[in-house]
Parts: sequence; structure tokens; C-alpha cells
Amino acid sequence: MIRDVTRIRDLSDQELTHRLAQGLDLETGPFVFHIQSRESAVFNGIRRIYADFPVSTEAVRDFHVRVRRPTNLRRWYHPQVVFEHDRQSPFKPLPANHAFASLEWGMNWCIAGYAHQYLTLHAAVLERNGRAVMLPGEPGAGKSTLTAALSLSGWRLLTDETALVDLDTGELWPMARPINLKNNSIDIIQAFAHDAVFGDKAFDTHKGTVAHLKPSQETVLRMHEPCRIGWVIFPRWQADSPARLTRRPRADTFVFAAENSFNYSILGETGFRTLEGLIRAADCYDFQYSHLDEALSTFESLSA
Amino acid sequence: MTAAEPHTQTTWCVAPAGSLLTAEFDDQTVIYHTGAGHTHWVSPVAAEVLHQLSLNPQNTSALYTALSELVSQEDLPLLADSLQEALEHLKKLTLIEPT
Repeated sequence: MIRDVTRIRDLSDQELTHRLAQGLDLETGPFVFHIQSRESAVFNGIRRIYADFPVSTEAVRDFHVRVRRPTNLRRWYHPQVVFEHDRQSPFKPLPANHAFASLEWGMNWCIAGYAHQYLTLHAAVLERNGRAVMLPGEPGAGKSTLTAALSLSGWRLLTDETALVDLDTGELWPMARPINLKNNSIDIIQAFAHDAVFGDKAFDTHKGTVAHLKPSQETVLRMHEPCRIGWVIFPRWQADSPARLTRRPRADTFVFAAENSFNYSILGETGFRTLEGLIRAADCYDFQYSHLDEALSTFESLSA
Repeated sequence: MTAAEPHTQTTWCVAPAGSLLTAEFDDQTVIYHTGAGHTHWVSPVAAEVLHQLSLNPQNTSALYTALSELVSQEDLPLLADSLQEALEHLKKLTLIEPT
């Protein structure tokens, strides 16, 4: 049976504004976010970056979130926004022009904090020919830049931020959310793919300048298709380095992944056994590179 | 006991709170302590020490004897130091303790 799906792009500006004021039910992989906001930056971000995403008709929403102006005098002089989950504000207010970035960070925070039906790991995941590559890494290692380039070169994006590992099957589930790029990475990817669609830049955030890259239509259309792990690769950008893959011990990969999981300790033995299955099924590498083209060729040969 | 063997008679047991889960990858072992919720990567000797102590508390000499049956004659001279190092590492990780 073909599901009759309304997508964000099907809504008129007036309808989208109305839905955002009342609460827009946005489907992102296995999650439904009920999003409320009257901020123009949120409207613009949803309109442009989430254009291909379905509006959920499910009765159950996983997360109720809101981006709104705080009710203090400061709003008269320096407009701010605050992110809320279930009417609670986990973060301090941010400048109003960071509203869409605030929504994105808040959505990530919800998944990291509550999605315990999965083992959640801080890593990007992409898929090619039915096998997934997971890219963990320290901040600044070049993970998001490489993820963006791969997603614009035939790899299906599952996630840029949080890997969702199925506790029963060990498969990786997509979220198909936008890729959050920072500072120089934005210019690098804009130069790499002139037709890449970005949201508005948010300047002077705690991470510098950030902008969100729209996921491909294929990524969104296949956001309910999980896949098996193939590789765990730790990327590191290193000036003047040739692209080089070197084997990484599985035990070391396991410990790093456990330490960079959002809920491994909460899941206890289930988390341990799920991660064991994932690492056992993966080939693990460190990957050093300086040029995106060389990096893409290396990944191309890996997936052939 | 030869000069190379450890002299201490300390008896060791695995940490009582919680249990230990292990996952072996090639010659490496990852240990999860359910009590503390911590994950560690330990050497093959340390993994075998944990296995022996999970059977019953043992002193260092007994551990040495048990492990010496698993290593080649060629590696035997290195065992005493490896065992001492493993015991110290496991104690520091609070995976084992003296009885």
C-alpha cells in the first residue's frame, strides 16, 4: 500500500507558519518531533533544510520541543531564544538568530538523553552498497567535513551526530538529519559542491559559525531502512598527509566507542553485548587525510 | 618457586560488587564491570588472571602456577613480571582486591 505522505515542501508558507505555531509533527527516521516556534529562523531552516521530510500523522510524538522568546526584559535590547523540551529549558538562552541551530542542538540532546531503545554512539554513519561505515572521532578531527563530502558523493547519510544501534539486530538506523558544519568546513563543502543546499549561517555561536547542510532526497526517502555495519573508521585531517588507512585494534575501538556513547552505561550488559556485536562485525581503521578527493577515492575502493 | 617467580602470598579475588563480562577480540580482551559500569581493555595475562580468580580466590603463587601451564618455556622467564604488572593494573582498575 502506498502511503499518502505530506512533506514540508507541500505546505504553503501560511500552512507551515500555522503548523509551527500550533506544533509541527516532523518525522526524522524513527522519531517524531512535535516542534513549536514562531521564530523566523526556525521557519526558514525547516522550510529549506527539511523540505523533503514527511509531516507525521502518527498519534504518538516522541519529543515535544519549542523554541521561543524568554519572558525577560533582555528581549527588548538583545533578542534571545530558549529551547524547551517538555516545557523545561535544558540550555541557557541564545541570541535569536541562533534559533534554528538551537533547535538542532536541542533535538540532538533529546535523542542522546532519551532514546534508550537504541545504543547511541557519538558518530556519523553513512551507507554504500548495503554496508555502513561509522565515523567516530574527537571534535575537530574532520568528521563532519568528510561526512558531508561522502553524502554528496553517493553515500547515503544515516546520521552526522548520533549512531542508533538496534539492540536486537545490531543494525544501524537512520535519522537523516542535516549535517552541522562549522567554520572553515562550511566554505570547504560549498567549494566542493556548488549545488549543496545550506541553511542560514549562525555566527558567533559557542562552536563558532555554524550552518546546516540539507540531506539528499534519497537519504530522506530511505530514512526507515537500517543497514549492517561494515567499517568503523576514525578520520583525522592532517595537513599534507596522503590518504592512509591503518588497522586499529578492535578492543581499542570498543573502549573508545563505549566512552563516546550517550547511554552505554545506562544499558549495562545489553549495551556491552550490543557494542561487542557491532565491533566484531566491523573492520576497524584509523584514517588520515588532507585532501577530500583522495579521501573519497579511498572510501570508494573500500566499498567496491 | 624460582627466583623469577613472585614471592607475595597475597590472596586475590574479583571485586565483589557486580560481575565481569568479557569480549575477546584476537588476542585482546575488553572487560565490563557491571558493578562500576566501567569498560577496560586488558592484556591477555590480565584477562587470564581474571578468569582464574572468577573460579575462586587465589594467591599470587597459585596464579603463577596456573598461568605457567599456559605459556611456552620460552616465555616463562617473562611471566613473573607480567603477572605482577597485571595484578597491579587490575587492582588499580578495582577489578580485583586482596581478600
